[in-house]
Amino acid sequence: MILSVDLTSETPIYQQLRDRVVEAIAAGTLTAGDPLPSTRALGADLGVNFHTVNKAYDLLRQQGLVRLTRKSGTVIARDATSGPPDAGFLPGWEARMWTLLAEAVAHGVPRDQLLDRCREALMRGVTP
Amino acid sequence: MTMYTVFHLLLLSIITCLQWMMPTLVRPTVPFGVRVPLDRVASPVIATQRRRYRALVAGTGALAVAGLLALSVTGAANSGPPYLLLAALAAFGLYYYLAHRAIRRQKQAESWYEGHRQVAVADTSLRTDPPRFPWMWASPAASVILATAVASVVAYPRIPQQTATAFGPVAAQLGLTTMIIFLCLMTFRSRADLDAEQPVTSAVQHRRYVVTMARTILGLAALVDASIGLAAVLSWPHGSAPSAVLAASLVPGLVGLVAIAAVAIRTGQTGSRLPATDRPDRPAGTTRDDDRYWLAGLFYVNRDDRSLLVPKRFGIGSTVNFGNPWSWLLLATILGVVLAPSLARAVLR
Repeated sequence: MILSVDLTSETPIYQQLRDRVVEAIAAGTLTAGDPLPSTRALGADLGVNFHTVNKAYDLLRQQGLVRLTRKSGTVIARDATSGPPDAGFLPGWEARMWTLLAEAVAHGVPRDQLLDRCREALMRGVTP
Repeated sequence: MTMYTVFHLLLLSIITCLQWMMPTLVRPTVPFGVRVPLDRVASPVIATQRRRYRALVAGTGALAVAGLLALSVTGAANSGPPYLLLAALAAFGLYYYLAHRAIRRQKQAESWYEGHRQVAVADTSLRTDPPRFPWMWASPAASVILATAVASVVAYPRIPQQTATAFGPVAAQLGLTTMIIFLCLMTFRSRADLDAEQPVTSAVQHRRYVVTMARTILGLAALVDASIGLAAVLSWPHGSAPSAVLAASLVPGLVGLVAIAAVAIRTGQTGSRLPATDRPDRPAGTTRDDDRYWLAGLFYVNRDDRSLLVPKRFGIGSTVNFGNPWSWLLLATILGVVLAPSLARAVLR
C-alpha cells in the first residue's frame, strides 16, 4: 500500500497517517489481519519521528481499527466485511459528519451537489 | 606495456564510462545531486550541465588514457598510474560539483518548489512483505573459500613455514566476503527512496533493483575471492609468482567489476531504468525537497533520520548517513577489515 503524507499541510502528520489507513481499509486495500510496518520502520521510510507513527497507530487502536499482536506487531483489526460497527461508533461519527457537512453548506456548496459528492466518494471507496 | 598499466587502463576506462553515463543512470528528478520537481527535469540548465559534464569527463578520460600510455614507455610505469587515476577521479568530482552548483543556484533563484505539494511517500508492503534476500547466491563465494582452504591444507608442506602465508588468503577471503554480505544485507533492507510522482512504479523498480544488485554483488564476492585464491595458489610453489601470472589472477575480480558496471547501467540507480509497471500509478504529490540534508549532493547528514544507509544521489548503491553516530562505527569497521591484512603482515614480520 502506498502511503503518503503532505509535509506542508496544516493537518498533523499523525492524523494524515491515521486517515490514510482508514481510507485504505474502506477501499479494501487493507483487510482484517493485514500487518502494518513497525513504527520505527514506517517512521524511517517517511522520514518522520517514530513517535508520530506511534500516535497514529494509537488513534487507530482506540478506534478499534488495528490491534497489537505479539507475532506480527500491529495488524488491521477489522474491515467493511467484519460486521456492524460497535455500539458507540455511530454517535461520534455522526457528530463529525454534521460538522463536515455544515462546513460545506457554510461555504455555499448546494445541497444537491453535496449529496452527489457524497455518493461519488462512497462509490469510489467501495470494494468491487 | 606491463600488466600493471593494463590493469589501470581497464579501471580508468570502466570508471570513465560509468561517470559519463551517470547523469542517465540516476533518476531524472535528482540531476547532479539536486532534488527537482518533475515539471523541471527538462529545464535548459540541466541539459546544459549534462552536456558540459559529459564533454569534460570524456576529454579528461581520454587525456588520462593517453597519459597512462605515455607512462608505459617511460620509467614511471610503476609509480605513475595510481596518481594519474586519482587525478582523473578528482577532476570528475570537480566537474560534478560545478554542475551541481549551477543547477542548485538556478533552482533557488527561480523557486522551483513554489506551489508544489511536497509529500513523503512509502510502500508499506516493502516492510510487511519484503523482497527475499538471495542467500543462495552466496554459495559460489562459500565454495571458492572452501576450495582455497582445501588447497591451503594440501599445499601446506610445500609452502614457506608461515601460517599467515598458507591461510592468510583464506582469512582475507572470509573477511572480505563477510563484509560484502553484511553491507549487501544492510543495503537490501535500507529504506527505499520512492518517487512521489510515480510511487507504484518506483516501489516496483526498487523491489527488483535490490534483488538484482544483491545477486550481482554476491557474484562479485565470489569472483574477488577467486582472484585472491588464484594469486595465493600461483605464488605458493615459488614463494612468489611472476607479475604476469599474478596479474592473470586479477582477471576474475575485473570480470566482477565489469559485471557490476553492466548491471548498474541496466538497472540505473534504485532501479530507475527498469521497465515501468503496468499497474495503475498516480502522483501522490511532489517528492519533498530534502537538499538541506545533502552536502554537495554527495554526503547525507540527518541526525533525525535513524537510517544507517540511504540511496546515493549521484552514483550507484548506498551511502552512509553521517548524522547517525552508528554510521561512523560502520565506516571504521569497514576500514579495519580492509586494513587488517596489512596490519597482520606488519605484526607477524
